[in-house]
Amino acid sequence: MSEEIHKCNCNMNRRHFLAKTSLGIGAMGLASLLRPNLIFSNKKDPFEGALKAPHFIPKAKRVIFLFQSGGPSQHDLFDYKPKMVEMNGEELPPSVRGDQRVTGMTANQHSFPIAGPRFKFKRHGKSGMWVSDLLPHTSDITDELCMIKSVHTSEINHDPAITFFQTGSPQAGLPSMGSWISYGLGSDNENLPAFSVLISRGNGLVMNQPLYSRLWGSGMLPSLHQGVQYRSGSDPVLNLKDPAGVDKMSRRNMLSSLKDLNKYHLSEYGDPEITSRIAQYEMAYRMQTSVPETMNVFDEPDWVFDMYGEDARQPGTYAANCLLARRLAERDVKFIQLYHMGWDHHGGIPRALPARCKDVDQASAALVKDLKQRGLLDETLVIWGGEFGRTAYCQGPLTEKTYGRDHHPRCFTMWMAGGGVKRGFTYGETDDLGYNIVKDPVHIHDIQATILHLMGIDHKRLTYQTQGRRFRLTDVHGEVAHNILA
Amino acid sequence: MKRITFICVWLLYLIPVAATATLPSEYSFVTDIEPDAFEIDTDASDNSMVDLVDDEANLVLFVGRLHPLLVHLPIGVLLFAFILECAALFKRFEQLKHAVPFALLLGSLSAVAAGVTGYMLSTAGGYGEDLLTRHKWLGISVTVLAFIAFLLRVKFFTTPLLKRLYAGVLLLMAGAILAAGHYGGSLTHGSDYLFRYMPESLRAVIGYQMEEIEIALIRNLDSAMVYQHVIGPILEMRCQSCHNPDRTEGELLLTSYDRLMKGGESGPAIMAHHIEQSELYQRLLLPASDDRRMPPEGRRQLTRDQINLIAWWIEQGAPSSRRVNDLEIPDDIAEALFKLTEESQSFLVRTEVPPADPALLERLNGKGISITPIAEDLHFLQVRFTLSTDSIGRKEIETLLPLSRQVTWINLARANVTDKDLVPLSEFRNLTRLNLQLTGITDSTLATLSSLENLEYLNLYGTFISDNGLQYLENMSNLTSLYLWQTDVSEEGVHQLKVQLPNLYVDSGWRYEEVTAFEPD
Repeated sequence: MSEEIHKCNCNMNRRHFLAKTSLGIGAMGLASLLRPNLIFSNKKDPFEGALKAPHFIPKAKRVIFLFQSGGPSQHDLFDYKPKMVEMNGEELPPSVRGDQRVTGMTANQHSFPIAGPRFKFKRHGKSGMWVSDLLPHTSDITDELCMIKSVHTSEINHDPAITFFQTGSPQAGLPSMGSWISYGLGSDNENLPAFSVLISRGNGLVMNQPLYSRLWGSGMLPSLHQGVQYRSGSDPVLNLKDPAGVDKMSRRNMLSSLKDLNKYHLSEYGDPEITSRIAQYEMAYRMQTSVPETMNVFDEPDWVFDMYGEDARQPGTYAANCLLARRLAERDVKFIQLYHMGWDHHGGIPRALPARCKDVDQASAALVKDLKQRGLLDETLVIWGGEFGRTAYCQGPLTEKTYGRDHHPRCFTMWMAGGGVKRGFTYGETDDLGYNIVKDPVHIHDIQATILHLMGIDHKRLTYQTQGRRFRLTDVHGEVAHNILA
Repeated sequence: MKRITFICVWLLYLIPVAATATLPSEYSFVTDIEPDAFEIDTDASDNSMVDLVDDEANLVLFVGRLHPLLVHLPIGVLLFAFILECAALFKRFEQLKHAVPFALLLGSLSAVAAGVTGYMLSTAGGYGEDLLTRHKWLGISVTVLAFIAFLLRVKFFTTPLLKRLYAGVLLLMAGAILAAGHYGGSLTHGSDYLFRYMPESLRAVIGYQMEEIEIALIRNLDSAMVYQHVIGPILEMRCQSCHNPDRTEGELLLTSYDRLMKGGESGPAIMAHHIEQSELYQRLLLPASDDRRMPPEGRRQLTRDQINLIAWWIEQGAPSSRRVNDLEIPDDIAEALFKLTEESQSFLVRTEVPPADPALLERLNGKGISITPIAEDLHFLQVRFTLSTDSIGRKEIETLLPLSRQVTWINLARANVTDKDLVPLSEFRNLTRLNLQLTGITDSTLATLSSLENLEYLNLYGTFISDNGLQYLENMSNLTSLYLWQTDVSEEGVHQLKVQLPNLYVDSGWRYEEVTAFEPD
């Protein structure tokens, strides 16, 4: 800059100074009257949470949600009912089913025979928790688990039920749980998104119930809170790598210029989405280093793969995703969402269910054990479960060899471990035929309220105003399930 | 003409005074209240729920309440006289000396007015005797000194002795104004008003210590008395700083059951069995912006549980000497009660520390260190290092020393630190969680940590700790979780430690034998 221009810039006499500052102070005064929270606020970083501090002391610093998409059969895995075995093939008493509407898939069935589980159950651990032989590794960790047998949902079909679980509403478009947590608490690692998503398919399955990226969408929240999906293969996050021929330096220059342009645009329009966009570009740049480092499981010793199962060596499997989940947890990612597809067993349970269990059992248990020995289970909430349960009655033919089960929203089983829930504890009870809840029901909204509670958030107070009203994850519902808290 | 101007000015002055005086008549009397009104989010409810008793007219008090207004006249005018006199010492402002006698006279006259109204206000009671006496006599001294100064000033040029005496009196007067003003402020705002948000460093200079309040907890819920052990302590923690014999706001004294039931200037505070007619309870529910909301804005608020407990107690008839267990206890109250017991309380909930200096926090935050509150009601902080793991060292930890009382969680996992870097950690006496896994520390760090008796969680996995180091942990009676996987600690060492600390959970890896069989790394 030439000396003349510099002099010119310094050329402000007292009169100019007073005129400028008095106007400026006046404007600040006006601004502070109009938006008292914004003026003098130190908030610069969009990755900071909307809450200045958690509402209460958090028990869990992060969540790993092992979502079993399709609806695992609680009758064959956790909720053991000898009566069902005894009454196998007998008609489900109409008094038990009541006036419940069933899905179109079984509504036309003439009979509803009870289908007893075909798998052996044993009691495990100090608490004597019932677990099916299909889950030998999960049986090993029962003393760490908080088994909730009385979860119920309002939805009976996959997509609305998963959407309901993730967003608190069966209609698509609201923010996902991970987005709410990212929005409320911000990120603990400035190099990785606070909300990560990992998807795996049932081993050997051609058809899976589909999942949609809106399930980890951020709805009306600023879009930097949406979940980022990690894929298997050489490009874990799409469009993250520099294109061939573009080196680091030109990328940095391009981003810096883009940032200037965006800032200019922001000062003109003031749209907060522009702030989001700037932050996302910067995050993406940092992720160019942090993601490959996180995804590189080859630095793990062999015994880790023995623990999670040989599948863990194959990217894209549930076991590999569990291992990645641990690595993300170690790097302080707040919400790690796994989806495993292929639990929708309308028929052929004796063959299909063991296959799914084999996909997930060892790795789920290994994750819990591994977090524990690293001292992370203490502050990480692990959740295992699907969007609904399956019926006690049989869908399709009930034969010696096979049986199937329809969707059942009235009761199902989930487990949690770590981060502030009781250990070796079973909560809730269903009737002898596993059809209705008889004790301590826990609704999906209650589960959501409880998860937020464990993260230190009062679910009634984490809201976002849009379209003239305040929205929250649990809408106007939800009670924290205090009885399962340690 | 002069007289008309004078009257106009006085009329203008009277408008705000009249407005203030008539304000209470606008408050409506609302008596019917939803039974579950306390479920409503207190910040969102805009209903006025409080009956305000129509006070009888009281001329003495009416005039007395002009004291806060009038008192600023002598403060301003007399201090200005002092400043004028100082300025007049310089040749350039010499002509200002002619204004001094006038300012002193005006100041001393207004001091008389302030004194008289002040006395009238004090007749209402509700102020701490000790503070009030000091304030009163300092105020009177100011008036007298100002008057003496005026007389001396008029005779100023007579002798050098008088000149010197005058200077002394003027200095004394200025000092008395500051002191009287400080005690007056303490009377109105509470004695810790000035120092509450003072930066820690400044406090250290003047030697002021903020109290750390340890909340009394119920040892045994079965024998606990409902007022003495549950309600009383809530009032003590959150209300008594303004409703005490020193400073009885609204003539309401909340230091004893009898005085609580007697109520204050707007009638009884508690109506047994009727939460909707209990003003004390209703005021807890008003929106924060309401002037009648208690505790007022800026003060520590009651928690939802505490409010619910008060409601429950009133509904149970506001008994003074009954056992908790003799009353009907709904589930949510049972839970709230349990939280008051010793066994339920964590160190972080039962200990209060002064807030950290916000300026300091802002300075440290963002420079590779993230310091955030662990929860909104607490001043405790958690610290994470966002620097690259190689650039954390002793210097970075030492920068946190001014926050040593507030910092309770520190995460140094994977940091490239050695024993020497961690020496300052011994100062963080309120530390409850410490992550040191995958660092290069050895047993000598444990010696550093041995003074941290509040430590509850200690993660040492993947370090060079050995059996020798564990002896330093033996006195950590609050330690509940210890992670020792992938260290040199033997089963025997763990066993030894568990003899000393039977309640400690020690993790040496998932099933020790199996995992060692894997041979990590």
